[in-house]
Amino acid sequence: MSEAHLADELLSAHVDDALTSDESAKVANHLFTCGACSERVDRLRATRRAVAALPLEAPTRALDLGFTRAPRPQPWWQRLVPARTPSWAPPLAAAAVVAALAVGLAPALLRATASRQSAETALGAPGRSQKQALPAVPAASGAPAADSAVTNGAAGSAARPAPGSQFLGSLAADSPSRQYAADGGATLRIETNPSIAGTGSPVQVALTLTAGSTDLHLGPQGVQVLVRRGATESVLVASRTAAQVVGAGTTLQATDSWSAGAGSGPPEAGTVQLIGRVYLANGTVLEVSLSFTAT
Amino acid sequence: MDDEELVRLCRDGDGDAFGVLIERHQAMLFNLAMRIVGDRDDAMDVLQDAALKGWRAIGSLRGGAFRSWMSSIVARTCIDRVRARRPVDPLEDDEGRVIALPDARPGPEALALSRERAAEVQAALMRLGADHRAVLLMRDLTGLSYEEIAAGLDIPIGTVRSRLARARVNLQADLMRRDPTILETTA
Repeated sequence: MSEAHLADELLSAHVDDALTSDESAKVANHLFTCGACSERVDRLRATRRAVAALPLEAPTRALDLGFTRAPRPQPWWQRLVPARTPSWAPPLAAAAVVAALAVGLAPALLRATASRQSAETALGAPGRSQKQALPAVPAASGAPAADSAVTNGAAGSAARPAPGSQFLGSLAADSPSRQYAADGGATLRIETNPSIAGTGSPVQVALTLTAGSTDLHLGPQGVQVLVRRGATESVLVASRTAAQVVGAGTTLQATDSWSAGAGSGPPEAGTVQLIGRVYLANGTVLEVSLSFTAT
Repeated sequence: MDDEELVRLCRDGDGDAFGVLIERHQAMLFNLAMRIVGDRDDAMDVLQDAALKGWRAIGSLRGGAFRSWMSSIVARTCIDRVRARRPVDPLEDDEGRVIALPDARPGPEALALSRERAAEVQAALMRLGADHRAVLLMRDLTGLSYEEIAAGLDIPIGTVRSRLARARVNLQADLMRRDPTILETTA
């Protein structure tokens, strides 16, 4: 055998009949003369068959599809644009919105203080805010009780989901909304329903970034909404458009729905947080969070 | 009614149509999830999460490729879940192997010989990195094409090809080391 053995990648793709015609001819010629590579192909095939031969098992329980009976929220990017925008346009439309959006905040990790005073001060600052309404989020932005502890009437009693849901308790948010006020009048606000009952009751989460007197340049990681359970974070929404600019006085919003307990089992008291995070191009990370208490 | 028609109904808000689609593909999706996360209960949780994500996003699905599309959502949810178990993953080397990761919990299948072998394959799968494991299972268990896997995981086809090759070679070496008869019986 005069030529070197073939790469694993070629042989693996050969097993799948996924080679280009040139590659296929090269592999066939080589295998004709190389017993070692032919044996490697046999072993790859045996490995593939071993995986395919894994016994199929039946699901262990029925899925709860109760969420299909609730109004389906629009993807967050659709909320960034006017209703008449063609359905094929989300990335372009979102880009157009953020293209209107430009220099940043002090480099530091800034965390929410949940101070209503600072929030209100900041909210009053930008004079040309284009903030949009937050549909289906009952917590009123900037309401007088916004940062006080809220446990509405449903918490712990009403709105229990049907049996079969993964999480049958309720979560009471420590506040329906929190807002971080950054330098230059920029604000980052997260809002959700004050009380969440069970997996079968997905709730709306809205994260709103409003630039103050200066433009905000976002980093590649952009804007994220996350759920933190203990030390574990999982991303609900992530903007994937790099190098966005949120222009002075304009607003960028991310919304999604969230089901407590879905996918992770019943939450434990004090361990669940909804987090809004903004990565700026200068390395600053803005973060605001809401905590929940299980009831 | 075929998948394409059901998807169209789903886009119009028909939850029953979504239920039919899920039921039609649930067994395949469950097995994909179970083999990636390595645990039945976790797999059901993943499926529940993925179903909700699928319902919310189905407006973006065109055509009838529900099976591959939903498989990708399940696989991505699985990868997120596995990563969340180990937020920092110092045990995974640059070739996608996880060193010293405990074996998957053996289920009742460990009682019979053929099931013992299945458990051995599953344990070896769990010693691969989650990214490699997901690609391998999407291909060899679910039968998705390279193109479907690439689109579903949002990675280049070349990455699918390299991960798949690496996963197969590592899996094969692991099985050969622990129980060569497994590969002999499937050869």
